[in-house]
Amino acid sequence: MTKFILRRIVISIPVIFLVATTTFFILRLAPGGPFLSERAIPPEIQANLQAKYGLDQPLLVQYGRYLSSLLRLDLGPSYKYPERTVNDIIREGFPVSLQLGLAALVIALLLGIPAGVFAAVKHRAVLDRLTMSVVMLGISLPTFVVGPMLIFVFSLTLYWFPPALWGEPSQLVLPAITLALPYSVYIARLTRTEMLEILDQDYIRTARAKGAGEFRVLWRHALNGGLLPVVSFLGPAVADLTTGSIVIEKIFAIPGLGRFFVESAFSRDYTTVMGTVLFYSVLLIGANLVVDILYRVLDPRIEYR
Amino acid sequence: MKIRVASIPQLAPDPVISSLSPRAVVWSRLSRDPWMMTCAIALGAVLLSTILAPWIAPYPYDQIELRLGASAPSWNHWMGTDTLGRDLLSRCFYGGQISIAVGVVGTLVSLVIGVLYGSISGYRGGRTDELMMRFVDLLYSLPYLFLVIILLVFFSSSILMLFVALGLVQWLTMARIVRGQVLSLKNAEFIQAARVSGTNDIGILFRHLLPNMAGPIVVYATLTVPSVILQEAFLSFLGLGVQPPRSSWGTLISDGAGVMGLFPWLVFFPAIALAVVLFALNFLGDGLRDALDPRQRHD
Repeated sequence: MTKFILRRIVISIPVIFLVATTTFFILRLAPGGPFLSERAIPPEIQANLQAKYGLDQPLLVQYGRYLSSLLRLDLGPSYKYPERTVNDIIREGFPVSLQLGLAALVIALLLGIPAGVFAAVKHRAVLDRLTMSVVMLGISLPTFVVGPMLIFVFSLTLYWFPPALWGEPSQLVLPAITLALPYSVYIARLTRTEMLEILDQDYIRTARAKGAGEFRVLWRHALNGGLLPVVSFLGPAVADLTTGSIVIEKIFAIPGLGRFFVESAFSRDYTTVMGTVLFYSVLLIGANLVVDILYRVLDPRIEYR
Repeated sequence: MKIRVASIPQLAPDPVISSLSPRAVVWSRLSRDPWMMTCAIALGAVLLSTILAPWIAPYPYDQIELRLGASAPSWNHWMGTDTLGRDLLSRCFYGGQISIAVGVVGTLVSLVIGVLYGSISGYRGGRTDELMMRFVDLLYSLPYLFLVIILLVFFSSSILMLFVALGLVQWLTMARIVRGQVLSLKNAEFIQAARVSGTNDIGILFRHLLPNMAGPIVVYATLTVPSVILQEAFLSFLGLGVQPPRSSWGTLISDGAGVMGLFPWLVFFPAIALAVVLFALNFLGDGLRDALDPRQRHD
């Protein structure tokens, strides 16, 4: 196990290096720059700004400097907010995105797994079709439709939850539900398919024959195996939850990392863009590793490679 | 000594084997299912309306009538007009063209890359396969939407860039599926027969392997189209998709969502159009997968 984890970490290092390199060169080769705004800046000031951030140096020198500061885990100063570093921005924005993502993940699991099990038990009955249709409707409505709809109903009409901003638990409810819905749908489908297969297997018949109650058969014997695909889905889901929250953060005016990223991309804030992408890459690689470990714990048939 | 030739046992016609080809079985399963047919018809209708947009749209999509402002649905404008007085029905028809085109082209890009990559990886096997699949694993753990956003912001957000960027995101899963199929098929007897009869690798791949894995590929492609359409909509919502005055369903919805409290029809109709197409494609994809599943042949 330790060997497996170590190997994966060693493999990840060149990937992170690759991400840093590609983002660096994509950004530099693209036209435009952080200090070329519509407002005309006197050329002297422009040159001073460029010099201050080392943008007047040859590209390779800049690249070398960037890499060496990365080794010190320093993502550099933000060009757009000169008083803050990229590390500050991530420290500020990420906990917000993380809370939102985790809340959404919990909601997605709580909605998706029971729905999937229910549909599998009622396989081919009207109720299965109905559950799966409702579930499918969930994927067919994009979050930026569901979000405003929820705001319209629960904030502007019923006054149950605040429509936007961040800080209080009640402000977490609507964005988390909006973010969770599409994932609960995927989880429901995965659970249903897997449960259908498992409910046909011998060990389930054995459990029934030994007199286990239907409830116990479903939730203990069958679900244990039925959750495997859900677990492997969680790796990419964490990825999607973090990136999907870009839109949610925009709708609900939440000061998360996704919003900082989009803003910094539009204002060509090189360092913030590179820093955020790099940060998320490390996060996702970590999340996938955790999922792989979990998978092996849940399914002892898988060998460590 | 006399050699006794064993008599060849007479093969009795098996009453269970039906004469239907696999394709006919799939078709009969789908066509017997009223849900599937409803989805197919709905999808066909929407597709047709977007293709025929230049002839059936009552107004040009960019004809501004400020005097009308945002007017509610009426006889002259079935879906109402947007804040600039443009006819929403016409804009939905034309928007569909772009949304569906992005979905289809993005899927095709991912299909070409994924099938080539996956089949090479599976067919070569061994170290090549190991290396190529590790690479896919690694790419899986990249924040894609972020990279797409970077590409679109820093280069132009033209439709062409959109096609390429979205296709590049989608090919990974396709590559995995194709590779798995190739691995399971490449030692089958009919492939060995083809090899013995002198077919080269390319011939085996395209003439023999690909046709036999069309099922899973078609199913996954059907499910990819809606996800690409949805991603285009996401990007449009962030202001990175199709640029005005052209619009996709995504841009229409995102424009409408801003004024939802005042003019709800502006978000309602494009959202319905998008939802119908996504719902139908997802449902058909799932149905196809079930119909193609050989384990369900008996019912």
